[in-house]
Formats: sequence, structure tokens, C-alpha cells
Amino acid sequence: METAWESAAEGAADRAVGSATDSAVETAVVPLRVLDTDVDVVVSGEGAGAFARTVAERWHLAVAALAVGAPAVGAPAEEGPVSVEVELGGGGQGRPDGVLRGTDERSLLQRLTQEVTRAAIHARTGDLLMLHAGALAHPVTGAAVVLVAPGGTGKSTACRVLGPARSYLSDETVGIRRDGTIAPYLKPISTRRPDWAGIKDEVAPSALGLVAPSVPARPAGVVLLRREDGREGEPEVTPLDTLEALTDLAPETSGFMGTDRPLTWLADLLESTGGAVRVTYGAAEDLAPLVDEICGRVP
Amino acid sequence: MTGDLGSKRVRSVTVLDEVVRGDEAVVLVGGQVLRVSALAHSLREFATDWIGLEELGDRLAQRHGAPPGDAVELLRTVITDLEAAGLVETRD
Repeated sequence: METAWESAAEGAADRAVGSATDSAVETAVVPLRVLDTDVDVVVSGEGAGAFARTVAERWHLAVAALAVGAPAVGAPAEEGPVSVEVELGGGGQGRPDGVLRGTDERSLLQRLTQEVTRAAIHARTGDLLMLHAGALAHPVTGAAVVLVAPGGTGKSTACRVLGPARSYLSDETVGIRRDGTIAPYLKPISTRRPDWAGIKDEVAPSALGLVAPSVPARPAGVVLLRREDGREGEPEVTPLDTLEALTDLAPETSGFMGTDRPLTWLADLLESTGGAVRVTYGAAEDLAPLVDEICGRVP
Repeated sequence: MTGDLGSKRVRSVTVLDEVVRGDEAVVLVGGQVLRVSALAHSLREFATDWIGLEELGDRLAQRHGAPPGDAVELLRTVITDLEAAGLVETRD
């Protein structure tokens, strides 16, 4: 019986779990490293090997042995991995026992992303300052622009459009360590399909020209995105004072209430990066000059 | 400060976190992040220990000037709002 992918070091994205053996595969494991957290995706059921291979392809930058962004000084001590279970062929949404069940690959991949995010946020609450944000960094200096926005309002699109030629850090959750570096969350890019019916495609970052950071990234600027469909012309950039930024950003955090003095931490971050700005814009391309300016700062 | 405020006293409640800039603040209390106005921030500063409403009203007037309208009613409203938000507590 073919069992777990014990290690991704052998090249998980390319490794042939094997269609010839898929019928015999009962369990396959894809070990991920996200937000300084080890998350094992445990897949069971008929076709587990093939599904695990797809997961590894889409999550290729986060597969544990390949993942970048080793914990910095002050990062939490190593702990056992958190497991997210997927049972192929099962009915329903997988709750309440926490197991994701289903047969539709796209739906499962989307729900898997949500579950990995939830598990990592839960594990890192108290350790990281986590913002609902995408982030891109200068590939040499690591100076990162943090693009904060509610779900479905521009983070992934901004990363997809502005990410090539920069380092990709996340399109969903940016975790900032106590030492000021960013814990990468190199998930697939969640992309709406033209025939969108409530399910997003989870696209491998490499397919969009996105690469992992090769140097530690630090926030160089925080941008609160406000996309207005149909808007044309230059983006409107509004500096936010610290208190206004705190009240605007607090709803776009995760694990905030479980973090020691999170307001003070966030205020220090904002003021050390020149203060947050709110940007009202129409198309992600319009953000390029601002992203260039922030990523050009000394982190 | 005029008006009968009786023996009511007020005290600030300790919050989980607070960022003060200028004369305003943002606080974390009861699972909420709240912006605290200059008047409310002053009130909380003056009420680090139990304080009578009359003395509190006088000190607020010294810092922020005499309030428009009915000072007693205004102070009651502010305290009621702050108590509902979990930022102060009161006792008779």
C-alpha cells in the first residue's frame, strides 16, 4: 500500500504518487509550513494520492521541506504539526468533526485553503500579529508592502498583478513576528473564475509568475485597500493617523484579542513604517507606483 | 458644576490595551476596539480611582471648558455610554 508522503524533500510537486497505485492509496500526507506552523494535510479515500499531488502542486511554495522563511529569532518553538484531514468521496461539508469531505476537487481545494488558514491562525494566535492582507516584497531588500483588505476586495488580484518581479508573501494573511519580520504564508492564489459560482480556483503561485522570498521580509508600508469597481484615474491616497488606522485595521486582523497588547504592537508597526494609508482605486495596475515606492524603502 | 448628582461615583475600568495619541485614545476592552474621544479620555484619566460626579464635572470643565446646555445631563449621558461600553463603572 502506498502511504504518506513522509517528506516533501523529494520534490512533492513532481513526485509521482502514481496513478497506477492510486486505487491502493488510502492515506497521503502533504506537509505544509505556513505562518511558522507545520500543517499536515492528511488525505484519505479513493484517489488520495492524486488529490495530495494536486494539493502539493498548488501549495508548492509552502510544502514543508521546500518552504522558505525559516523562523526568525523569537519565533515560537517547534511544535508538533497541526493536521487538516480530507476524506475523498464522503458526503456533506465535513463538519462537525472537522474532516473535509466531498468529491468536487475545486470545492475541496477551496475549503482546504480555508481550513489550513484557520488552523494556522489558531496555532499562531498570540505569537504573530496577523492581518487580513496580501504582501509583496522587494526581492533583494525584503521591504514589503502590506495590502490590507476584507475578503474578496482585491488582495489576491493585487498579488497576481503586481507580484511578478517581487517576492510573494501571502494573498490572505500576513503574520508579523515580534522581531518585525514577516512569517510567509505562501498559499495558492485564490482566483475567481469567469463562471464564478461561489467557488474560487486555487492557483499555484508559480503559474502566475510568483516566487517565494529569498531574504527575510519586513513591512515597509501598510496600505488599506478600497477598490471601487469602474473607478478610473489615479488612486486616491489618504494618510491615516495612528488612531484612525487602528480602528480601521482592527476588524481586518486575526487572533487579535488573543494577543498581548495588540493595539500597541500594531501602532508601533504603523508608526515605524511611516503610518498607514487608505487607497481608493479601480484596477490593481493603478497601485503599481505606490507599491514600487513602498518596496523601494529601506526596511 | 451645578445640579444634584447625588452621591454617584465613577471609576475607570482597566482595559486590555490602550494607545493614546494627543488627547484621544483607542482601547481594547470586552473584545472590542473603541475610539475614545478627548472628553471621554479625560474622564477616564480623572477617574482612575472612585470620584464623585460633581468633582469629575468640575475637572472636565477646567480642561475642556464649560459644556453647552445641561452639564449634568451631558455628564450622565457620557457616563452611561462609557459604562455600556465597559470603560467605566459606577456606584451610588
